[in-house]
Amino acid sequence: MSDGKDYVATVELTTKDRTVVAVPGETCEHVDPRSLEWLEQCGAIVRVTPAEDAPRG
Amino acid sequence: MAKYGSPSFAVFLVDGYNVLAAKLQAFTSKVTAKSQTCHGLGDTWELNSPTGISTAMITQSGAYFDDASNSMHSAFSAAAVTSRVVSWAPTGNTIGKSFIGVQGTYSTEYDVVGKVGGLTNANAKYVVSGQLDRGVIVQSWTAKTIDWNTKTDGNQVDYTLDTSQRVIPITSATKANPCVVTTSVVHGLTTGQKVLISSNTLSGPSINSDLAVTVISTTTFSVAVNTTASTGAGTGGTFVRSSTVNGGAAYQQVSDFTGFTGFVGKVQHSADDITYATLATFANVTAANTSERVAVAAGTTVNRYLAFDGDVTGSGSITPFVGFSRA
Repeated sequence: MSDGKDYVATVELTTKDRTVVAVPGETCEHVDPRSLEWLEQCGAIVRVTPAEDAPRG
Repeated sequence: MAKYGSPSFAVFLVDGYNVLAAKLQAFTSKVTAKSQTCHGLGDTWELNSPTGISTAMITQSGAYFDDASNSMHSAFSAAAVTSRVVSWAPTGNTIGKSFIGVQGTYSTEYDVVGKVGGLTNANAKYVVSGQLDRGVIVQSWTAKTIDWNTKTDGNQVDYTLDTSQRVIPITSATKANPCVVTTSVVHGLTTGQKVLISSNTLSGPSINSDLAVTVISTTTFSVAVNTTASTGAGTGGTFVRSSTVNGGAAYQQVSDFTGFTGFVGKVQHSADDITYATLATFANVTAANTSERVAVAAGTTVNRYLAFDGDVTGSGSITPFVGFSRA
């Protein structure tokens, strides 16, 4: 399961109530985990630690 | 099909000026695909070949412009080299309704018909250098006095509800991993794009949800659902696109601005309506009658939901209008 701490935001991210959960360059621990997949797919966040299933070595 | 008349034409803004207030009598917009002649000696009929280039032209006639200094008359009768941003809403001033915007609009004619009191009656014709963008209103032309966000207000725009979208019929969906969907017409999708499928007969699991596609051919694509154990024939149903993958353009016009010392508007998008990411940010506005077009780069994914965030500085009132066009 991905954790927001593994990602850094490339754009500002907010919730529906206007709470800013990450600004560019900030890690995403306050981002709802359900949103991480699509945020990564569209480039709004980038992974900064290797995925657990990534090849090692 | 909904029909729209004169009262539906609710917004027509040129560089932040409200042209409708000037009692505009007629308006036209026309997009023409250009071709070049390619016939030669011996041909008996003219031959034309498409160039792949389109031009847009808009005209307005019969408007009464205030001719005070810094008013619409002085702005519009200025030199033809002035590039303008034009936005209009032909089907109503409501979030989610149709919006059209053009940038690089150069007036080629400004024809003063007559003067009545302090008003100048004039016709104008503009040729557009660049493209005409069709999209949806994400912030209606409404006065605001505090920070706001359309998603917080429950007015986010859901692309799957856009009535200008084609609804594509599904012929069949396989019991396989991944499930392969066949359409009866060319689907026009790109790998990575998402679609909202409904009313297909597969169940347990079903494919009736918001899914990313992998394109196989012009009439087939797969979705990452293992339907090997599904029941049902897998026939029927339809889909609409729930994301686009080629960027777009955001337009903002500000017709009134008093009291505030600044205003920053942002268009945001979301795939799940839970978290929103900034898609386009407009420059800080400090005066009325301003307009801007912000391009979102080709290749950028624009997700299902669109919202607008307005951030004001100080106290006062502002009347913005914002539209977004998916490419």
